[in-house]
Amino acid sequence: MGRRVFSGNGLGGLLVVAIGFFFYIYGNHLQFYEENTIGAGYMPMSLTTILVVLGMIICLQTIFSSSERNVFYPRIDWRSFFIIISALALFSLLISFFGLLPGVFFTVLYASLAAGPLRWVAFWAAIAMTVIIWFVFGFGLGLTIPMLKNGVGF
Amino acid sequence: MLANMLLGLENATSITNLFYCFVGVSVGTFIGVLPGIGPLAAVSVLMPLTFYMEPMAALVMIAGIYYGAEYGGSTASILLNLPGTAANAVTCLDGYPMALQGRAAVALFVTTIASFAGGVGGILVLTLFTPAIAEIALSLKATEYVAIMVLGLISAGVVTQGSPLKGLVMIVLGLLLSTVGIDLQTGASRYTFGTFVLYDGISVVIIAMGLFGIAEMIGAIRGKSPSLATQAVSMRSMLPRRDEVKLLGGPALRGGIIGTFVGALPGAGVTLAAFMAYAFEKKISKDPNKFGKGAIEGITAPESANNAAAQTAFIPTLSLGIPGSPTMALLLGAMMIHGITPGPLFISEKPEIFWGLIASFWIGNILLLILNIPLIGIWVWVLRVPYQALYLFIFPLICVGVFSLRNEVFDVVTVLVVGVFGYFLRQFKFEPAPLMISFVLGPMLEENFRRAVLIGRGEISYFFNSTLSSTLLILTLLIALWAIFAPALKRHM
Repeated sequence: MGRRVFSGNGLGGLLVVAIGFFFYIYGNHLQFYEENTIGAGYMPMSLTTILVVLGMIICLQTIFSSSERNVFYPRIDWRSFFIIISALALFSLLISFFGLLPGVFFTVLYASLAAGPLRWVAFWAAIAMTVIIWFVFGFGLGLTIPMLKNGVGF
Repeated sequence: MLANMLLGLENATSITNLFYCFVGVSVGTFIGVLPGIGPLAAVSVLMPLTFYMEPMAALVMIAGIYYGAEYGGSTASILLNLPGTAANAVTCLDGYPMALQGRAAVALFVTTIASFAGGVGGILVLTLFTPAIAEIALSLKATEYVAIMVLGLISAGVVTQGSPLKGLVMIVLGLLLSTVGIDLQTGASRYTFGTFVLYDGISVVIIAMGLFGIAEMIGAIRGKSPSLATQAVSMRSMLPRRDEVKLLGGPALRGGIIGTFVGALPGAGVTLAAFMAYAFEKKISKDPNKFGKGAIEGITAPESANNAAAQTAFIPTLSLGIPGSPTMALLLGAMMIHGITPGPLFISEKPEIFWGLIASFWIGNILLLILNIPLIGIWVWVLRVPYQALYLFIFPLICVGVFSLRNEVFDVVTVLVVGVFGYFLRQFKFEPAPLMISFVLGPMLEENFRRAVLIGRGEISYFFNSTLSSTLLILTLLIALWAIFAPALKRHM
């Protein structure tokens, strides 16, 4: 039964409780009531309370349920997860230091690793998207995003 | 009304708007055909581009993607046994068996015609009822507005696939996220963590990209590639047999009526419409055994229903400012970014946009008929593109799109955070769609709630001061209780 904590509903419920507590702690200082009406804290505090309660129900229902129905163990694709998430981080670094076009090119190459080893299609996609993005965002929409930077922020 | 419709037609047939209508329905069909990318992901990825367009063009395009996807979605259901969008899932049941029997072309033709019929029915109802509902909505009190919104939110949470309890969690989470930023009434800063970049709150685009772009992508990249039921699709092979044509009218009509009704309920959505239409058709059939083995009624009714529902989802969206589906929530988000306030005043204040949008639905549906019958070969070819290659084109669009919102690296990082939580919640089977609806409705709910409390001097009983709001609130309570206790009750029975 203790194993059920690590089931989808067990972990999911705990995650919801954690999110609820996080928002509760950082919203606790807000005023609950104003004169004559509700304050800025009314909605956040009521919502976080509901969230924590619902999260606990989901978690406890699974742990103490007598049937195996609805018990599932999620499969996390760690490789795709890690690569895609870090690709976003990579993009925000590259665009800050080297500009948009290098950012797109290298991010696409890196993101392609999420599916497996580096492939030729990734290379072509990187080139194509660099050109397309330059054309659409730079030429077409005339955005003021710096296309190229020298690495120290100019 | 006629004058308004002419005004709308004139507006919709301008070269720019025609162009964006065409782009919208083509993109919609494209992403509808591809399993793994739904209309929500497509609209969120393309939303940054629409900020540079005229408001009218932007709305026409977003709407086109939305209803176009319902047409395209059946193609994947029939040929791959994988629904292009959630609303086409039920089309697999009889569409794929038809393809295995070598009748894929007929199935594709029939679903397109059914989609068109449903779409047209939906637009007619939309045209007739939306202005009237908006007029009634103008006289609604704050408490009644709150009651309608709460009911819409709760039913949106409960109706999703999977556990109703988890749907409620996502609704609450969406409302909570919508409070981030400066509170307009009191000036208090909520969850800004000391950075000014969060003062305006989190953009609806960021939430959508994180939940439907990034989180969905991570899950799909190494999913298994399906095998295609390939066969030549020529115009001639598409025509159904004469005895089959006779079978089509009834299911298309019944599906259309169910879809029209269900789609108009705030939050209920197109998927439910398709499932209900299928179940109904099976129930009244003289020979229910043929369903699941390639019954032509089994693809006609749900496809008619989901397209009718896709159109009538615009009724609560445009008349009340309450999104009829998650994609409608994004449409409302786009309206607000363009400075248009959604709600009952929208139709009277911006008649050219409202009627133009409706005229564009007619044009869009006719374009879709052309795109999906003579040009079907293109979409069958699109199905061969593997997702492992496709995401390489979508991912940079997400990155650059988010950054271009206001040239802010912080926004890319926010997408990262939303993506991480979105992915885990998704793996734990929390359906993200309801969150979108409540996130967009959050500020409006709080504003009306605050007003109601002010007028009622803080008395709870004030919320029950009219029959309408009492009825709706009691209904809401019952649904919520059912959602929480249904699993426990089922176990004991």
